[in-house]
Amino acid sequence: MTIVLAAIDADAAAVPTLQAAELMAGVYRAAVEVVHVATGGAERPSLPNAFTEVPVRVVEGDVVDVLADELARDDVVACAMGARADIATGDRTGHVALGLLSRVDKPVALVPPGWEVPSAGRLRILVPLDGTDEADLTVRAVLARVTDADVDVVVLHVFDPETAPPFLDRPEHDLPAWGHEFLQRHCDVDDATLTWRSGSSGEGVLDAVATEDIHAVILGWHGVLEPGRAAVVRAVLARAHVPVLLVPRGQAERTLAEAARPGAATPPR
Amino acid sequence: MDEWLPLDRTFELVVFDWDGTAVPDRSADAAEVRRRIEALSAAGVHVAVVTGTHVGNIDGQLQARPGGPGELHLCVNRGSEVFTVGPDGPELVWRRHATPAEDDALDRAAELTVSRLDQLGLSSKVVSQRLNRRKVDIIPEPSWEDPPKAMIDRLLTAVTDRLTSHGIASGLAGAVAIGVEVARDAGLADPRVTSDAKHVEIGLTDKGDSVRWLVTWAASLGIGPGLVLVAGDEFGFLGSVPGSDSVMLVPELARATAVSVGVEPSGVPAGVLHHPGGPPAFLALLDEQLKRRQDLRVPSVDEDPAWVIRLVDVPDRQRVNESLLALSNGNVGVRSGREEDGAGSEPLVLVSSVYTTDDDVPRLLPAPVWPSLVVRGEGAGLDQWALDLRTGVVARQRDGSGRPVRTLRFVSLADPTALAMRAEGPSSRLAAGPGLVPPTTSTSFERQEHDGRVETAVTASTKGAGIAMACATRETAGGGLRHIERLAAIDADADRPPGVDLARRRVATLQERGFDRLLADHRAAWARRWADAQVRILDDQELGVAVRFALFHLLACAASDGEAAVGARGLTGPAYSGHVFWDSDVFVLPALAATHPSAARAMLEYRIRRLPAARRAAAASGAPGARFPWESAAAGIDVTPSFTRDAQGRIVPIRTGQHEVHIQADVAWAACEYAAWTGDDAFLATDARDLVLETARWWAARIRTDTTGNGHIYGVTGPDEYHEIVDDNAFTNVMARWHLRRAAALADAAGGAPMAETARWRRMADAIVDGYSAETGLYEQFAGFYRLEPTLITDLATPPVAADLLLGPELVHRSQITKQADVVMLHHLVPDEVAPGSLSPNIDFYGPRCAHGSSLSPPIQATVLARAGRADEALELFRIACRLDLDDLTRTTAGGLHLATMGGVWQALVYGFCGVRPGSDALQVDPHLPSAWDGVEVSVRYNGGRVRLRTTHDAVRVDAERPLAVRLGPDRRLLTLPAGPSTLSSGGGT
Repeated sequence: MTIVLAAIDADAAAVPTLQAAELMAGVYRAAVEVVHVATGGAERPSLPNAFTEVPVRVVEGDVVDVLADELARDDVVACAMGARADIATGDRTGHVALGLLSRVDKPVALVPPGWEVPSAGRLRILVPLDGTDEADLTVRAVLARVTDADVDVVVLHVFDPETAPPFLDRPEHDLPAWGHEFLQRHCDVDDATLTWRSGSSGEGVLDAVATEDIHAVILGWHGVLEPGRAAVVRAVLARAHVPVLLVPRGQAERTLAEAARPGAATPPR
Repeated sequence: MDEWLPLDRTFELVVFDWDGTAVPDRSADAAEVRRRIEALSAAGVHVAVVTGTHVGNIDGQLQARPGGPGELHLCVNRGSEVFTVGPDGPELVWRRHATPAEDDALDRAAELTVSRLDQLGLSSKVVSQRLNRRKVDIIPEPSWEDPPKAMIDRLLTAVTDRLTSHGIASGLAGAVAIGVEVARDAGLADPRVTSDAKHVEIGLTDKGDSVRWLVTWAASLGIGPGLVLVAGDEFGFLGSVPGSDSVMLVPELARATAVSVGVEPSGVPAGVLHHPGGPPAFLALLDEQLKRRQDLRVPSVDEDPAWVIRLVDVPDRQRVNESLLALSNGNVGVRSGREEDGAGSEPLVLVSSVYTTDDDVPRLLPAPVWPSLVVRGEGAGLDQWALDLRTGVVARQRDGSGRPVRTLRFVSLADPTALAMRAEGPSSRLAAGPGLVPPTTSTSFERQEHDGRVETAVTASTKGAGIAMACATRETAGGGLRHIERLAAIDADADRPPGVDLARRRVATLQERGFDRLLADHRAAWARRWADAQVRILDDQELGVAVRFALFHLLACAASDGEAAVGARGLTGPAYSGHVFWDSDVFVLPALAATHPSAARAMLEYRIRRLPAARRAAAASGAPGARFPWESAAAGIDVTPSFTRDAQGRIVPIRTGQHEVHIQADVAWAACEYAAWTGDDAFLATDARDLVLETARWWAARIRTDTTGNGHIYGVTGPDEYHEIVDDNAFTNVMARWHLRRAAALADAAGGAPMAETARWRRMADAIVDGYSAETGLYEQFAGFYRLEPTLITDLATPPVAADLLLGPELVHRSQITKQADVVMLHHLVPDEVAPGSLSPNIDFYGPRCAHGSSLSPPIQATVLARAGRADEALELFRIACRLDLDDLTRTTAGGLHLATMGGVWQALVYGFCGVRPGSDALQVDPHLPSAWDGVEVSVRYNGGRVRLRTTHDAVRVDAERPLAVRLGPDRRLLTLPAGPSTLSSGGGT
């Protein structure tokens, strides 16, 4: 059995983190396991009623070290943990997530405090794609898993000076044609929809989250959150009020290879 | 596309030497070769005998009477005569006529040869005085009176001994050299001197001339050198002299397969295959060609890099390739996707003018998908594709274990309702399956199977339009290989249910005709079309192929009769729904008017037949005359979508339909441009008269006169669609002015408007403002343009760029950033309607402001830059335009090809760089070539005659089919050229 870890402590993000972990477990066809790092003794977190059946592991040690070790387990495929609004700045309050993200090569969902799992309807996931092979590969690895899940995939492309096409004759004719081809090339989900923005990628993602009724975002990234790097990830983590699943780009090839094995549920194109 | 063996090809023309190749000697029974030649002819293969002897000898021995369709040519008298042979025997089709002086020179040369040899103590004699040549026997001894071919080794030894013993150390080569020398002394500038070991022959022609004639003849049928097999028995050296068949390997025959069946004592030259065995080996080659046709083998493609586009289906290029390789005859268009079902492919077959109106906005109705096959991917590599622009066929090869799967298809240019395909491959990987399958988009589809492996399928809209297709399949198998042939025919109608039975009857006719004949007719039709549309950029083959690629799709986009609704993407993809824009009139039509006028005429017929709808549209808005729609489909009403949504999903109204009214003048301009190229003034005076006048009438009502008497056109959108709904757009106003004046002149000559009305049109034309300032030399693009933020595009982005998408429509709207050539488009379309000398200042002003965010922009900007003498700048934009689809620069090529850009490419080359455009009384010629080019060759039709122009930096060589008036250079000096070649110097003289 594969595992999605829910890294929780006693703060306000515990419930949203557990809920996000359950959603991820559905996508990964995995079970949720709570890991709690006891830094001042072997205390055990009290789980909300809905999650009393979830197994809990309490491990002592440095939080980042412990979580990195847990994520390195062969049976663990991903992790959900609470996010801090100021993680993007690297302030002390976000140091756990920051430290963990720089060390792991598996998807980590950062769940903002106060996020609530949608009570009804299908989960809408925003997938920003810049149209480069590397980014495509990363996110396609995850999309290969979500194809069968009960989610709507909304692909976002943000036009910037690097990605805007040189020509657009009549938007009402060309954008549908361009969008159709973009999805064909970069997204394996049959019924995915496309939305687009212009300008800053980070702002584009945030705007799409706000206007497209998005419940979660999947972002590929290089695993480096130092100042001056990962501007989009920083902007989204700082301001999005939905979970953000960060998929390390190195992880993509493994997942794709796994998905492409004979008998795999949804081999990517 | 690699062939497995050089001879594993299907040849369309077999050229061969006679004596020693086809028969052992001149007295042999030729029944076996005769039987095969007649069979090849019946199978559509052309055959040509190339020999030194005269027609009586060859025909007497061969006695072939082929019934066709393949032709038999006897190229006799060593390159001086060509006969075609039919059921009634040989008929002369070409002869090289020697002048009396040439005949005298030949006699003198033969006598001088004998004399020179005699001086060396060597006896020789003139043995024959044949057409255009003289033959000197250099070993006139009884024992060598008539040596058979099999004794050539011994003959050569005897002759060499004889020559060397008399001081001619180089033997036979020395004797030939003497022949050349004395022939020149006798006054022959280009003597053809050969030897068959026994004789030295001095002539005006040789077998190479025969082959050149055949190459030209084959080209007229669309048969390139790569589809020619040349067989002989003497390609290698005979002693020190090249074998007599070596002269058949002329440069024009590059890519042909040459094979020797002779002894070849010195071996064969590089590139010639050696299959010794004499005539039996040659007969085996003919048998192989016959068998290939019986086995339904996939025809070969002449892999000429100047004419073939090769593509590989790497991931994500598949749908782009389907567009690039699309085939059309103007009536039917087929995207060239894989024949088998599979992810990533979007097959589509479309029929011109057959729209479905089941949705809000009409779109072309998808036809049943053809061709379909079952291709299994065992060990498969990537698909390799070849589009042969010369003949309009698409070939595919899919490698795998064993032999590859290969297919070849075409949409017949000779029969507007016919399509054909062959496939071959290992039986384990290739099967027929259904020949017609449903379109990928939701459309009503019904399929039926009939006797004789015929199936039919119909797609239909709920409102009547429908497309019926019938497909007949033939199949052979053997040796683990399967061969499949699929012929298809359509019937389609925009208003009534299609005729399934008619489609079946049509396919039955195709079956009777046969694949090979269909292909031959198709190739010949393309050859005829290209004959008037040659383009060649000297020393830049890559760019030349790109231009040819554009012209190929232009030539294929419109039917040659009836009416042709040429949508923005033609029949190459679903984008733009088949809607017709000004792209058709202003960008596509000029190329066709100059190269395939009947197609341009059909495009105009589309507009003419929609004049009633345009009248109704004008009346509906309370205006007189006729108002053509910005976007048009079958009915001729405006089908511009009324709104789209922005990034946030907000509704954005689309205003082009209401405000981009320059379409009125564009349609009239197209009619006049057609008349200018063709000289068909009667067309303007009759069929097109009302189109020009009624649209002018609409302008007259649209123009508002202010209190000072100036005319204005308010609330329009020009080509620069970044600035919608502006007043007095210079492009619109000047085009309207040109239109009113042209219409007045037409009405004066052909009637249709009273003089009072035409006088009013002229007054209004004179009064309309155009934003021109004599002080600056600039046209203000529209009233208030100069008050916009004076932004240059390079301040914000690197052009070409879709600035509205990147920067937002609000920003570009309040800036001077333009989408495309707008003011300077006037200098291209109506250069006589703008102020003299105003081109350069307007290029200087508007160029840096232009984002070129429209695919229409680069070629037009290139055209005007070239006209302004800035050809090197123009070349950069020209290259972008040429590669727009090939490199998928728009990232929308998967949805279809940008025909308007392709039309712009042709205009940039012909109007721009070559400076060729049709004037009222003469063809204007004023070239400006980029420094990187050595020259350009183009063909056009002007005033009903073909004109070939070879433009270099120093001169223009004109080859006119009939006498031609030319206005040369910037001062347009009038010259009258006779039919035939003339050279015009850059200084303006002939």
